[in-house]
Amino acid sequence: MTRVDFKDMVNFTDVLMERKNLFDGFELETLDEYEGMDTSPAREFKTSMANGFYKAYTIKGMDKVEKIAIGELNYMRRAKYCAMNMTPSDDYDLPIFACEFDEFATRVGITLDMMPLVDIALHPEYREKYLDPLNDAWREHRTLNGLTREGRCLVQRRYGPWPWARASLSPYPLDGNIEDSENRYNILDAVVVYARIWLEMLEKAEPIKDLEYKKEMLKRKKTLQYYYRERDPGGEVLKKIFGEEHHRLYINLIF
Amino acid sequence: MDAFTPYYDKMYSVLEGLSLKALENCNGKDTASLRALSNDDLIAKVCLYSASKISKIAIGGFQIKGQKQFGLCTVFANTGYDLPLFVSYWDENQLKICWMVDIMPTVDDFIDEDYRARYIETQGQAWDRFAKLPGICPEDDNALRSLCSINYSAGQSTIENEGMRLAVLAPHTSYLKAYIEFIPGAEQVTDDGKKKEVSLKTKSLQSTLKTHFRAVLESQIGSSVGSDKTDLLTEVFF
Repeated sequence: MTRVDFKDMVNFTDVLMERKNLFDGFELETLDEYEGMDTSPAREFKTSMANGFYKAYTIKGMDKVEKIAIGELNYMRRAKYCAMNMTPSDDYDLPIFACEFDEFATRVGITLDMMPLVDIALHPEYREKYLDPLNDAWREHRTLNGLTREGRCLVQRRYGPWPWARASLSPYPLDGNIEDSENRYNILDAVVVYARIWLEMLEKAEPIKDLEYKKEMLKRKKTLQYYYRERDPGGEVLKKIFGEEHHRLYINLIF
Repeated sequence: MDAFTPYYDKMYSVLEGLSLKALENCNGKDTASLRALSNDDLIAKVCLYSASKISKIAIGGFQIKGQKQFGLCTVFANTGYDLPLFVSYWDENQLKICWMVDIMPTVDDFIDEDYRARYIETQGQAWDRFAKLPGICPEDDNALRSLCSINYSAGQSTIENEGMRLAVLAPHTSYLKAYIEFIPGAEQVTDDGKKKEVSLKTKSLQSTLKTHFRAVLESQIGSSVGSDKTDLLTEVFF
């Protein structure tokens, strides 16, 4: 088992935004307020247990994005909890891009997916339009060591104990624990591919006009946000770090 | 090939717990011709039943040129019940078995947590137990995988010894037994919105399953039984 020192852990945000130029061609604009909350305390924080940042953006001149959030929480120089989330605004039915990248000395735990905003068994055209474009990247990366060791059918080890979380995923999740240091970087290639596919779809996205469909889509979107914000065990960690009063901003930015 | 896995017989033995009523037609189409599908290249056995609260139980085993075996088993509830769908397929040759079994939700079970707790999460222990079977992996077909519940099992299992065949058959009989245990407690859906949801989703599931398995049946036995019978089999199973 390879052990990675804290100082050598992946600089998640820097790799995606600077080295991979993920948002080239898009003008990111800082999102000062999200759901009635001032986002500035999250832009750079330091407590007795943790330091880091969660930055939230929209795209300049585009009303299609509710938020693009990316950040890192460095926990007692032992672990890095990194996350990236891209959520469309309520007029658009793009899936929610969600990536958790949690690095420890012994492993990276990753979940990467585009979570559908409708029931794809009921709406196969949604899968074809928004999710099937992930097919090649999913097949290429799901065989990385750590993502297949247990061979689980939905490749969902980290979320295994939580049926609600498994039920939220698309047919193309990448999920597991990666130990060797090289593959900790290789899986970031998948993050970039998934994110670029989302951004390409964003450019083409049209507002939803069918009100019945929109109602159905928003019900699932709000339920996704509610479940991840209220039930994800990471929320308890954030409560400990930021306190009962202030943790809400961080949770809502991450998902 | 020495002997195929007794897919049909083992699945049928699970169904014997129900009061089965043989069906002679499916959606208005006479199914009698399916009793005589066998020919020089194919040994086929297909049966269609109904049961209390169940509109259709289809089970089939097809041995092709003594080299391959293909099996299917599906269960659909009567209109008005929210019971899930049972789907099992089995594709066996001398070296490998490709398979999938699931209890597919007929509502959006991400939203409807009561449904998920009642019909899907109850399979969690079985899902865990079979997760260690050699060859277990995600269902390869994207469309089919997108219909599956969170607890489906699937694999591409290399046959290293004869015991493997029965080991890989175990999830199919186990999921079918679990499905049958849901039937006595199933009640008519009274909420109009839920009724509509179940109806729409069941139709959508059927449509995707028909498209997928029409192509599978065509590639497995189409040349042996012809296009009309392939269509009829697709109708019978889905």
